[in-house]
Amino acid sequence: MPTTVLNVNGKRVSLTVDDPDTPLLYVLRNELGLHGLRFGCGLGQCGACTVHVGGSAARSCIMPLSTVTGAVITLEGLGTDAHPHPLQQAFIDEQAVQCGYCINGMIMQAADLLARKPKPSEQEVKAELDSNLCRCGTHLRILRALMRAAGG
Amino acid sequence: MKTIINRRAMLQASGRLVVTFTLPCLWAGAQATAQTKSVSIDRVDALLAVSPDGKVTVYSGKVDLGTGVRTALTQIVAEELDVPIGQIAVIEGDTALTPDQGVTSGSLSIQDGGMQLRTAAATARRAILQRAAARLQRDVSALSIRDGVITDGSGQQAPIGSVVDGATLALEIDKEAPTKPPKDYTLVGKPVQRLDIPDKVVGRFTFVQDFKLPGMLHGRVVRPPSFGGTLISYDESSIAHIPGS
Repeated sequence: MPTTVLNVNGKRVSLTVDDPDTPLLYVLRNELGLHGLRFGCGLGQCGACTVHVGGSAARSCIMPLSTVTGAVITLEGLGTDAHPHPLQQAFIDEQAVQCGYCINGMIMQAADLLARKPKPSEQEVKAELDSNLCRCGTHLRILRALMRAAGG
Repeated sequence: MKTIINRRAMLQASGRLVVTFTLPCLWAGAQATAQTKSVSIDRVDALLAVSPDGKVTVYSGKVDLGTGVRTALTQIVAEELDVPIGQIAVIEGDTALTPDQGVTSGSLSIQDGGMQLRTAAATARRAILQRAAARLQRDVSALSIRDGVITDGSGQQAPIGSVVDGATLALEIDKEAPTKPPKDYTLVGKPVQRLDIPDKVVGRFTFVQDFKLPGMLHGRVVRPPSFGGTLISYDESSIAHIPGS
């Protein structure tokens, strides 16, 4: 079985996976025990599985392991206990979680946006998160959390 | 080889799977074992335990499915027992430890489960004060609980953990036990930070999909490609390479 080397949350990991087409989601969750990212639709449509690959948000449920070339950051690696990412603190401050299943994707997608554009408008935030689905209906709080994290 | 199996046979072959919602953040010492702990819904010790260090464990048959009831149930117990929210841990849905409070559905966790907890906590509060009265040789009417500490208003104090032993809460729930008047509420009905959010925003929260138990088997629903289709047969050799198949 082929061996794959990944950089995940700043650590080099070596994996033996029988199928190179295995989605990155399963590798991270099942092989590495990283449970921040979640299986939602399995079709890249809901965003619950979002991670950063090579510095950009990516849907890990439809990303074959063989195509992963950049460093991978998951929700667990976004901040530290001592220094949470501003978005993580903002989501706590705004209580922007109902069940929390989508929140990985909301934060990871938003972190990508803020890295590209530190001061987005509300319209830009809405456009960025348009393809991240929340069934609980926490959208307005999520929007407030983003604006808070952006210092707005 | 082509084989037909039905669901019941598959479940029998795979053994009984019991999934619990017990979270790993339990207070050490506050856990009772399944052998000794009551799970009878009419008993205080089925729903509540107080350890010598004053930590309170709530055993809830209602589980938080993402609506925040863990926080709300904690508020109810904290209010009725007068202990700080941070002193309370909740174990949810572990059938060996928690009473059967029925299914978690229909927005009934607070209305039903919460009221059961409230009367249990009220019964517990009265029992704790009676025990403290005997211990401190004071009239029970002179005692109250504030922030987990029993006080007589004149300087005598005792943390609740110091007066409660294994027998104190071994009681039937008394539905007539006096509950706190809503006008005195400081936690119920007030905004409280959700207890689960910090873990959820850093990827540390255990959702039911994250459980990995020893010997756990996985099943997958394979749906028919057309409406109303039924399974006629399947090719067992197509999954022979999957471990455990």
